[in-house]
Amino acid sequence: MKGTNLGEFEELVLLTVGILYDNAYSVAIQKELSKQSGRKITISSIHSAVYRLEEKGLLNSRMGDMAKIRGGKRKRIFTISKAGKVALAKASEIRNKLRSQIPEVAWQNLS
Amino acid sequence: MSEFSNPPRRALKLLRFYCSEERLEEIEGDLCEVYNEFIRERGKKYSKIFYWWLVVKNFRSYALKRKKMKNKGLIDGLFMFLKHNILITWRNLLKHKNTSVINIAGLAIGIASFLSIYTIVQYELSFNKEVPDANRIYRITSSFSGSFKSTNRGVAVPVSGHVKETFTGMETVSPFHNFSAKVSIYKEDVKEDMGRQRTIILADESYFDLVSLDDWIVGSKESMRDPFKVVLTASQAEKYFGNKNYQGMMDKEIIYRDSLKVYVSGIVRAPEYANDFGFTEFISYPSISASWLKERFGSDDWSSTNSSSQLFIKLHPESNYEDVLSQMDELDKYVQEQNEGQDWIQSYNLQPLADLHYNQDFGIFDYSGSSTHKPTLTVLSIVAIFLLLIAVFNFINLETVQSTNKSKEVGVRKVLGSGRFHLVGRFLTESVLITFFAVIISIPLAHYGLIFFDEFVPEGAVLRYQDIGFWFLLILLTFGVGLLAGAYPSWITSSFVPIKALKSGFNLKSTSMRGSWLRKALISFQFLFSQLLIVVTFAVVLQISFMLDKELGFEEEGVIYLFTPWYETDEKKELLLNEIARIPEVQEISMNGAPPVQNGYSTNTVKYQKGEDELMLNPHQKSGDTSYLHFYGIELLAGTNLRPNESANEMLINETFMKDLGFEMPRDVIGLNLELNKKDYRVVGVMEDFHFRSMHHPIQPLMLRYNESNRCIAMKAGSGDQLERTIDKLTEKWDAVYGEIPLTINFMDETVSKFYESERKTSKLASLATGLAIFISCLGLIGLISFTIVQKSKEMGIRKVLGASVLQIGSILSREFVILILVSFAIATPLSYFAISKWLEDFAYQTEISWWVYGLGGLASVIIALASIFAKVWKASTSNPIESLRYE
Repeated sequence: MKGTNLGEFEELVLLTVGILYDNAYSVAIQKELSKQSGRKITISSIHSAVYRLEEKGLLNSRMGDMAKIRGGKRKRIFTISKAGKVALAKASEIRNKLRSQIPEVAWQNLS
Repeated sequence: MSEFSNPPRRALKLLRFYCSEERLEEIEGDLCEVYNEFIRERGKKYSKIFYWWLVVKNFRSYALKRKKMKNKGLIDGLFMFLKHNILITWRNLLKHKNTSVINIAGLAIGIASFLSIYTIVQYELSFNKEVPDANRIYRITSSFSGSFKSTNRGVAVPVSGHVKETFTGMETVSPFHNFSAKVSIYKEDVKEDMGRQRTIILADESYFDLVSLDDWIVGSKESMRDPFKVVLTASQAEKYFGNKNYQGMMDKEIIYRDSLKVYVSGIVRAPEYANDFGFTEFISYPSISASWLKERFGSDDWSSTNSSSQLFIKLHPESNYEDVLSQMDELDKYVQEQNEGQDWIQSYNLQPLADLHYNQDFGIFDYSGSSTHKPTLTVLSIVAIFLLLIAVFNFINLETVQSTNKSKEVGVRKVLGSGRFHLVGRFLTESVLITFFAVIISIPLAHYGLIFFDEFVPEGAVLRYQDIGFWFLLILLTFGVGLLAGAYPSWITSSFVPIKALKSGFNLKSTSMRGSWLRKALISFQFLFSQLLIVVTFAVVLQISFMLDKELGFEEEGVIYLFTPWYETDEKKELLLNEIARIPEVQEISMNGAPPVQNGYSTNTVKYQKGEDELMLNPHQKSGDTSYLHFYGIELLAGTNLRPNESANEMLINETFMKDLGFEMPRDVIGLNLELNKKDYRVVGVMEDFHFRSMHHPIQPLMLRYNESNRCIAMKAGSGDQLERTIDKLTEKWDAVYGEIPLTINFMDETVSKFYESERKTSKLASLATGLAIFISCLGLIGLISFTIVQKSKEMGIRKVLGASVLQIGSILSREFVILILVSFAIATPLSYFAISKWLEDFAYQTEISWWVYGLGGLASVIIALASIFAKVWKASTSNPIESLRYE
């Protein structure tokens, strides 16, 4: 059932990967996303999201360099793929399209 | 990022344990980074717990080892491994055709003999096991003490009634009588003879409860309450009436001994499991008192016991065995009261059904064959296992010496990264596969073997294809034998160091030597077993011929004898006797109670007043007319022959009897008075000892008395044509006198040789096993020698060039085997001596087994071994040395 549809969290992760360009590995994504959204996000939820996105073909990845703080392990750097770009565009397009169709009156008298 | 702390070790271990290799590095790095950041931000407190928490939370599908994928890979891999191995094995088999044939043939023969013997033993052991409630069923048997000691499988007839009335805790009390009779049936008003049937019993309805015979086709057990009813088993009914219209058989008449007319009142299906209750017709119990049967079976005499009168009980499930035993004691007391005045005591015992098939003292039933000797089954099983082992040893030896052939393969595999266990697996697959072929071949071998050797295979012992256990056994054999045979060779072969194995000219020197002590031990064992069998077989044959050739002490040559029917009149007997006397070919006739040797025997109690003491003896007894001594050529040591007068109360005794009475000189005992049946008998002569029983028994005391009512007519009728003419005429006269009663003519020498039927069977079985063992071992030898020859071909070539003779070369090649055979000879000799002495213990008269018999075993195996390798050695030692040296 894995289409190219993006979940909300997936979309945020995908956007963050874009922001971090070439330094987008799991821990960095977690920090950036927490900072930007103010949400508390665990590392494992990032993991499950990026791996899922990679499986869907929306992210590409390669192994980066290692760091001492990582116990000498390399990190996996993610970048947005073409399909990822299309998916992001589609998502915001749908959103905008839907949003533009909401009648003005619906915004009034909100409780 | 001043300092770096390592995450807690155990949590890391857990992570590494469950995380897939693919993801581990990045995840481990990420977690480590997060962990360190946590420490930097909040200090070390709780940091460990935090890391643990991280690891646990990380336990998600993306990180896990892909179990499913991996498993599939494993099965695929295993399948590939097997497929590959099987293919290579197949190629190897084809490449080394000779060795493969020897290996498979040896194993197949070994497995086939194992299977056949297993089937026989299994069959014999399964007897009566499946009878419902078998553990609650007992037979009541008799044993006698006092003036004579004996056992009997039957009981006195009135016992059954008493047991029925007085015993408690019985589910069923079932008395029945074995009966055998000529059967005839009227078919469309024509009386048709069905021959003599031995599987008849006179029984009441309780019999059907006893053995749970309840698969009635028509009729019921209640019909057995009326006289002149008979129930048949389905197969017997079909035999009699020739069809399956069971309903139509009801109330049909069946005639026993031309005079007892009974009517079919039921047909029941017999069970298929192995059991001794193979009776096929059941005549209702009330028929006994209503017909002439009562004379034989209707007795109320507590002191007369006949082996055909059987009494079985089935205990109630709740009853206590101890209680039954105490009731049996009560019964013994009661019986003693009834037999007051007898000088012997009869006591009754319980024989469990499980013992019925195996008890040699009691035997099974009157009609049954001889009971199974359990120790024989044990010996058979041991032989089976050893035959299998010999074949396994062949395999081990051949595979071990052949391992050099696989050195290249092993080298290449190891270079390519095969571990030792892969290689062991590869060679084990090969041996299991070879065993599998052998098992496939052994099935028809065993199947037809069991049919072909019907002499010692009990009827009904066939491979049980319908039995899951049988197939399970085959699978077990395939893997058991395959792994057992392949373990050592595969271990050796897989141990090669790749560099050495790949170097050209890799020779076995280093590796084969390691296995050589084992190989030698295995070969020695094979020959040990073969020699043991050779010597034992030979000893059995010697003992048989000794027993047959031994002077019996009376004349048996050309003597034939027959018994007149006991239920016919004396007039008819006289008539027949006169007729026989008129046959010109008959040279001499004697009437007697029993010929000097016979299967059964009869003893009687004799009292002798020796001074103050009363001496009680239990000699065998025979009776005859005055011609007995002359007819059989029995010498009188002293005294005179009997007078033709029954009331003269005279007897002849044999030497042993005389010695038992305490006399040394025959003439001293003449005129002695002995009390027999409350009458005084006078000893008028002493006969020379003769063997009146088989050589299993020592000569026992014997007395001969004159008797007018003898049933046995013995005559000398020459041999060859003359004998045949006599028999023709005899049959004619018999038919004229007795009509349809069948005539059985016995030959004295046959009677004697029948004593040793089971020994003859043993000798045949032993020779068969010997042949198989030798054959399998020789197969192995041929395989080994051909390999040695290939290995040593250059050496032989050089030796020949240097002038070695054919004989020298031959001796170099075969020396090793001869030495091994001599070693095994040294071990086999005491073993076979022990085995033979044990076997000979059964005989009162034993042949001397001289030293050369043992020597012969060794010699025979050396000769057989040399003969089997002769062709190969001959070819090698006569071949042109150029052939083997050319390529250098």
